[in-house]
This record gives sequence, structure tokens and C-alpha cells, in this order.
Amino acid sequence: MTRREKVMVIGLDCADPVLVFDKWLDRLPNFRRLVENGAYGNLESTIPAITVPAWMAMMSSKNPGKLGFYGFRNRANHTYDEMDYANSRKMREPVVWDLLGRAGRKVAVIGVPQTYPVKPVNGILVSSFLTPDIQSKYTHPDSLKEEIAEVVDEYILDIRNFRTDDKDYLLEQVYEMTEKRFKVVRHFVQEKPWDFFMMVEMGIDRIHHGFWRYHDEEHRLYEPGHKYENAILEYYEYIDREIGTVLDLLDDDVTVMVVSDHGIQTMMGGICVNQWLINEGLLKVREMPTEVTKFSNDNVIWEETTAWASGGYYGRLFLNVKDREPNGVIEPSKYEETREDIINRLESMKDDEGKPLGTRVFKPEEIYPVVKGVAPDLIIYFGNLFWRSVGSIGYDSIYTFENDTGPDDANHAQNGMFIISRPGGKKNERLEGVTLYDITPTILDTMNLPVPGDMEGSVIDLD
Amino acid sequence: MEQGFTIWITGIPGAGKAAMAAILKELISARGKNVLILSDEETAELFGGDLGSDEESWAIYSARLVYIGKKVAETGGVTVVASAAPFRELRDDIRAELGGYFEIYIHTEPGEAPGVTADIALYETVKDIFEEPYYPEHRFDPSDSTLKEAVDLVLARLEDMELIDPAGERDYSDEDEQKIEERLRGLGYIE
Repeated sequence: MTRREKVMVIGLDCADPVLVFDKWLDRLPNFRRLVENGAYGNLESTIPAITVPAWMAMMSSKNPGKLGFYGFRNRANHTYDEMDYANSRKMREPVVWDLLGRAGRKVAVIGVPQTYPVKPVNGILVSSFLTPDIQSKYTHPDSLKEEIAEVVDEYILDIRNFRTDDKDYLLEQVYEMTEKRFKVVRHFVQEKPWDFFMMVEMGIDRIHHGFWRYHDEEHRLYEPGHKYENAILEYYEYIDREIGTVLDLLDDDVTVMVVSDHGIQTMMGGICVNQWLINEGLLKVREMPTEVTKFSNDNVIWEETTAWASGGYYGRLFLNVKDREPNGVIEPSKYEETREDIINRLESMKDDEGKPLGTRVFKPEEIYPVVKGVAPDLIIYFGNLFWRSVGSIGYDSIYTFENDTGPDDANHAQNGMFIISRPGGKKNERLEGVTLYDITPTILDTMNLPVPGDMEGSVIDLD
Repeated sequence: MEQGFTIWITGIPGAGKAAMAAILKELISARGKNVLILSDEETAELFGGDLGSDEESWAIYSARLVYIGKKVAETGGVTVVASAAPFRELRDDIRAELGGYFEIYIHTEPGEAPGVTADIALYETVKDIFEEPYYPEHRFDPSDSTLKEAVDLVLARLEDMELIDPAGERDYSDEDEQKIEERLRGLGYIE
């Protein structure tokens, strides 16, 4: 009989390969130990490089088009208002722990985004920050909630009031959340039978977005010697120690993976995408606000509007197409021409100093083999993600350095990171060209199971 | 008319396929579906009496069951097949042919004695040639969970796949969604 291999996946949302491998590895002894005993490198994310859809794409090895998720919130249909939130019910493709359970392997899954509402698994599951609150049924089995409460009292799904200016409070919250998560992880590692264990910790993402200005000398708000200058490094050191406490509990024959869904980079500012569309004559509003105002569909004169957009870490642009949208104006025969025109305008945008912005624009059907659900007509990386997309209007410029959703210093980078330490496998070898689609095939292969033919990724060569 | 589907319970003779089929029939019928059981115990002689036990014979026999499953699905009904279909490739073909297909595998340890109702001759034929499915929609391991737990999980998965209607209210309300929306807004993921 084939041996039942065990795999532990430590997911760190937003953990960045430049910080871990190139800058701080000597300060992170447990990461270093895994690197020295494994293969590691950049892990290319999905487009868009954001928590949803990246984690589900990683765990199913299916691209966002196949999953029908282009972000946390997706158009439900071609009306202007109806939106759907990505949740576990909308996830139609099996993820790795579904397959493993179906193959008779015991699984333990903690904190992976988009696992609420909770579906039964062959083992245990604790849902993620995309859960209403801990009064919800956030575990499988349901009774697991009580066990968690015994271990950590009040479990923390995510930080409350993240966009605060009270950084001491924020820091305290991040540490408390992470400490409790790892405590729960250690408890279940020891108390539950498992062949596959996976956790995702969100703290790195939160600390990046909240403290980047103090860490990055290139950031326009950087102040040398600020008391939070080392907040991010110290948190990585803390995460490293927590990882160490988990590794200490594992047998030597367990394959350990550390993965992230995307990386991080400085945020230069925001591009006010709807303001830009208005300036370009592509979007008409009834009333132009005199102060910064959240974009509202009710304020749009649809009969005179070609396109509108959503903000976030990346931009989503929608075309107002005749016979598709309720008050569409673009003749279907002119769709492609209109789209090309907007792409050209976006790609030729300059930054606030007149230098090329380097914006990248993607057509969904060119990056996804299948496009399910209602995808944006264009996905925009302003300044290749160095600039955020801002949806609000009422700005006197298309550039803003004040975030319309509160303080935020950093934006996502396309590459996350991976380390895979497999007993008898590659040691201290940096690999190129690995994508997050390769993680699930590699888990299945490590556990002596076949890789289904419809998976997008390949088994990473670890031998 | 709403399309039906087929549940195919595989496993060696004596694993408990027919018993599980009977419980599933009762529970799925209670959700307003017409359910037909096709069990080797009943159908082996009628649809396979002219056949041997080689791979091709299994393919012909299974194709006859698949035909019925498809016809029942066309009427919106559900067929629960309790048949070994011992080869992986054969089950892959069945899956492709049926479309609406839900596979349950009842795992028994090699050498484990067959259940008391088992057809011993069939058991002897199948036990050595049976190939475990890699990823059935549900794997039931009687040493790990009870039959009741297994069918509860099967029903939950059928609900999740929207093949049957949920028994009660599902745990995701507008209020839940609003809480998640507020969190996402607070985190800056959405505006």
C-alpha cells in the first residue's frame, strides 16, 4: 500500500518574496530553515492579484474566469446595480481539501478565504475573515466552535476598525489575532487526525497596508526614525517564531509549504478612475459633487455614458453596451473598437509629474480560457499596481494621495512567495516560473494522488 | 422539466451499497423527487445474465443501467445505482455519459469479510479486480463514520450542488452579507 504522506500548508496572505528572501531571511530563522531544506521563490498570482480570487484559484488550480470570481464583489448580471459577493456557495470547482477528503484523507483547514458558509469536509474546517461574526456557524463540525472558545476564548476573524489612525490599537489587534490563530492551529495539529493541514493568516496583509509608510524609504509619507519604522519587520519576526512553534510539533516526514496569494509594494497614490472617465467624456453624471463623493449609479445619465468603473487595489471598467445593459449606448458592433480606444487612453496615461504611468489593461477573454459569470470588460492595473483605483468622484484632479476608504499605504504586487520543504526533495534551490496554480497539483502529487486533467497548474519539480 | 441525476454507489459486493441506496431513496424522495433503485442484487441476472465477468461484459451491463439512469433523469427523477462497476475507466465513461452523476464509494479494507447479504460468487469475482476511485463525490468509510453520518453528508453535498432543494433555511442571510460587506469596506477591498 502506498504510504500516506502528510502535508502542512502555512498560508500567509500578502507575504512578500522580496522581504522574506532578499531582505530579511537572516532575521527569520524558521523561514531560513525551510528555505535551506526546500525549494522556494516567487509565486505568480492571479490577475487580479487579490485575496479573492487568488486563494480559491490556488486551492483549485483554476483561473478566475473558470471560477467566475473577479474580486470580492462581482456583477450578478448586466444590470447596473445587482452585485454578488464571492462566497463558498458560489465556488463550483473542487478545492484541494475536497479532493483529498474524497480520496479518504483527513483534512484540517483554518482561515482560508471564501470558506463561508461552511461546507462539510472530511475532518475539520474553520472559516475565514469573510464570515459575518463568530456567532455564525463558522466551523465544521459545528461543535468545533466550543473547542476553539476553550483554547482562545474569543476567536478573532479579523481586525475591527482596520482603517483607524490609531496605529497602536491596530498593532495590538494584529498581534492578538495572529496569536490566537496560531494557538488554535497548534491545538488542532496535536488534537485532530490529519493528513493535510492548511492555515491562512491575514495579519501580514493587514500590517503591510497599515504600516508601509513607516517601513518604505521610498514612500512619500516616510519619516526616518519613526517609532513604527520596524513594525513590519518585527511582525515578520513574530510570525517566524509562531511558524517555528508549529514546525516543532511536526514529524520529520511532513512536507511543509509556506505560500502567499500575492505580494506587496508601495502605493504611489490613487487614480480617480470615474473622475477620469468623466473628464474623457465617457461618463456623464447628473450632478458633479463639489466634494469627494462615493460614486453612485443613481447619479449617472446612462443614456450618455459609455463606461463606468469600480475602485479597489485594481480597477474594473464596465462598458455600457446596447441590448446588454438596460440603457446601453455602445452598438455591439462597436464594442471592440470602443474597448480598444479606452485601452489606448488608459495605457497612455501619465502620472502626476507627467511621466508614463505604466498602466496595464487586460481583456478577460485574453487572460482566462473561460470567462464565467459577468466579468469586467477591462481589468486595470494602474501604474502596474503602484497606484490604486479610486471610484469616488468630485476630485479636482485624477490623482489623489488621500485614500477614499481611509489610511492605506501599500498596494498588491503580482508575485507572492512559496517555500516547499519536502523530505528528500530539493534543498536551498530558488525556482523560477512557479505560479499559484501549481500548488494544488504539487500537494496531490506529494500525497500520491493523481492530478485531475482540468487543473491549470503543474506539479513543481521538487526532486 | 428539471433534469434529474444519477447516484452511483460503487464498492465491492457486500460493502453495503444496497443498504445505502435504500436510505438515500427514502431521504431524497422526502425532498420531492421520484427515486428508482437499480441494485446488482436485482439487476445482475436481468441485465447481465447473458454476460460474463470480463471488462467488456461489465461495460455492457453498466451501459444498460446508464441507459435507464438517463431516461429517468430526463423525467426529472433520480436513479440510485448500487453496482460495483469495478474499473476506473469504466466509471469515467459512465460519468461522461450520464452528465448528472454523483459517485459514492464505500470503502472496505482488502481481505475484509463481505456483508451477510453479499453474493459470494460475485464477491469472489470482483474483489481482486476492483479499482478504488480516486475522487468519488463521496467516500464512505464504515470504519470511520456511521451510515447516517455518511448519508447526511451526501445530502449536504447534493444540496450544495443544487441537485436537491435544501431541507430548511440556509445559513446565509442578507444580514450576514451586510456584515461581510461592511468588513470588506473597512478593509479597503471595496468602496
